Amino acid sequence: MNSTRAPDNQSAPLLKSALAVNRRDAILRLASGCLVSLVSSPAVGQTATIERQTLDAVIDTLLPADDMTPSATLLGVSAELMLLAPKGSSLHRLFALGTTWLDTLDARSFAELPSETRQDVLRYMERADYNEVPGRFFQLLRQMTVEIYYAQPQTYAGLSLNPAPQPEGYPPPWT
Amino acid sequence: MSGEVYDVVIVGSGAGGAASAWAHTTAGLKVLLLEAGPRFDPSQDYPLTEPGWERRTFPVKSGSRAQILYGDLGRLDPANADLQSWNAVQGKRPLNARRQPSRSGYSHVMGVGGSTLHYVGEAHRLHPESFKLARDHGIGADWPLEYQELEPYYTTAEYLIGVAGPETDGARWRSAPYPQSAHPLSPAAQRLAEAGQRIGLPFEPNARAALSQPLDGRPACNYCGQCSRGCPLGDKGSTDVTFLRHAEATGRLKLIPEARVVNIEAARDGRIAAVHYVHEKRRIRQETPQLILACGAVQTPRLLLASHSTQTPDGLANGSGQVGRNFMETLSWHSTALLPGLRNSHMGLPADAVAWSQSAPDGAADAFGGCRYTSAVQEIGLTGPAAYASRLITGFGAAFKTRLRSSFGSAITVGATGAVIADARSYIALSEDENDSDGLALPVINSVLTSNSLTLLHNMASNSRKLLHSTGAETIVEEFGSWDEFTATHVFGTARMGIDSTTSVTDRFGRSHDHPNLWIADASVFPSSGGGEGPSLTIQALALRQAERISG
Repeated sequence: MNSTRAPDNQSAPLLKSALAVNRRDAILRLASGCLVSLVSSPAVGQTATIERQTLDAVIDTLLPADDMTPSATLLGVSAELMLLAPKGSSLHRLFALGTTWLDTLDARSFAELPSETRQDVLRYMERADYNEVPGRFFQLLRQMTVEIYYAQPQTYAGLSLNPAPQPEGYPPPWT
Repeated sequence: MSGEVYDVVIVGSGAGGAASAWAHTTAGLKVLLLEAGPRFDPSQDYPLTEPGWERRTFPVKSGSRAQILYGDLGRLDPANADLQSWNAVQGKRPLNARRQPSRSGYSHVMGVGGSTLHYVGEAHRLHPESFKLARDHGIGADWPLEYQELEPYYTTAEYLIGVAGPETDGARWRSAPYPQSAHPLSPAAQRLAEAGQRIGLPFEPNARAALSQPLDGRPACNYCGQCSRGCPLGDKGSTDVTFLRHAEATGRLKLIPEARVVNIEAARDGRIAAVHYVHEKRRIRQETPQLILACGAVQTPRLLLASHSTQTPDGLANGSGQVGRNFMETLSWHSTALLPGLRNSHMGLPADAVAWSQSAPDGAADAFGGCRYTSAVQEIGLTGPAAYASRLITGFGAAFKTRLRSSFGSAITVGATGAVIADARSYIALSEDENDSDGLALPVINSVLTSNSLTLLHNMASNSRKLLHSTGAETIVEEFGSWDEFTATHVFGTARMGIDSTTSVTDRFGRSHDHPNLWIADASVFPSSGGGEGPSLTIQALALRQAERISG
């Protein structure tokens, strides 16, 4: 019978520090799909490593510090991303290809570029084809970065939120 | 073999099984309740008291979701592409040729309390006219009973679980007021109620199994807005803190979690002799004078079909050939906008306001079955900044962070839920090549949207958009629905009740036409789905009525 397997968590461990299991799996599938179509040569990307300094520069361009909240790297986003993209995984390869591509744009590394230039590059990537490395790298990295960053109560400054919904809840009045 | 003797064995501890266990134990009977999933510990398993809550879904406990396969979910006609799911951040998802299961797919919880652990707690009565679809409109199937026969049991269930509702009856007349006063409308619901008045879709406080005042040792709701992630307070009327708590207190209930039924054994005379289940790696045979299946409209037909024998080659209770047939999912649609001036829309009770005016079988334009609308912003998870950043607010950088701060709390969502009429292409089958770890064939969901469903879905989407625009919202930022993805919490019909044993599986009390001591107490028995109502209260009312029949 031609059938599709549903998501299930029969054996999923309770990983409090990771993305929700079904969300993480969805992102890994997207990363895999990209690499199948992008990397025609089996050699490309197989041995690439993530340029950590470049990755940090990207996520701090995505979510820089401002007068109310810290930057993404200060909240440990890049460290957690590295945990979610272990060597050998499709996500690691995508991040490696993405950071390597960014460092080929100029004689200087991406991290050494002026802030305005880094933002211009990300604006280009934001509009790029999702089936190419720059586009998919941007979309997946942005998605994962904002989910990790905004799940932390240090980012709640200026928002009418408790650190967690319970035990206080939000009794009325609400205006 | 188990040497224990019980008066009743129940399989499944969700809405129906728990209500049944309560009714039988309080009537003095000794009951064994077998639950395939685990027992939850709210302090450990409900992710609401610690930072990082927004990234944790529910349920994640091992064994709390069943393995489900999907077969034919229908083709996607690009002519209906205005029903395609999308959001501002991710845009439109690539359109497949066929409808796909969503990440949650058949959304359910396997465990003590069943899907009432993640339901938001809507406690609805079915529209009285929904009982007679075939008689009055020539479509679907009739219920072999009418609203007035269920009404006393609705009332009993409402008082047991503690339902807060409005003072007005509407079409669903009542013999007693709701036991608790309605909850205050949340900020988003207030704006929708005003908009609904303007366009002729009036909203009212929804009937909610969440306490507006303390009751029965349970506190009042504190409006955290997270009912779908498990309720650590215990104010939500899930069956673990209501029916099951009281059933266990009688001392006559033995509840075994992680006990997976793998076979139902029929005797030569047609009576059910025993159930076979696996618990702690042991296979146990339990004899029973009465067996009640309450596993939901996917797992109940799976068990019946899988329990075939030389005497019953098509499975148990299947003399009509209708077991697994007539599967009905629920149509759903959600439209969200950011409404300038709206604040704190993440606060309050999910689904606290409802518009019923299109819920009669002929209530919606050009389609049969009916639908209803709710304020759904909390229910779809727009209660934290991660959801806003990943779905609603585009861009990056300092300007993005500022925009997110100024937008947070302004999301407003209309959720629409609609009827599905049974169709021959929608059914539950057993997988021919995939089994679970106990060797039981996996269930396969086949569910195709008919032209009536598509027309109703268009109507739901159109009215949802009208409601949002009438609030003053100019731009919609997210929409998703049943057209391109199968997502269904409420499923029905796969062992339907009826008068005629050649076209139905059970009689009007949920008793199998073929096996006099086999009963079904879940939404499998629904001949029709209703007009978008949440089914749990109807399942409970049916189970209470059935228990009275069994105990005489």
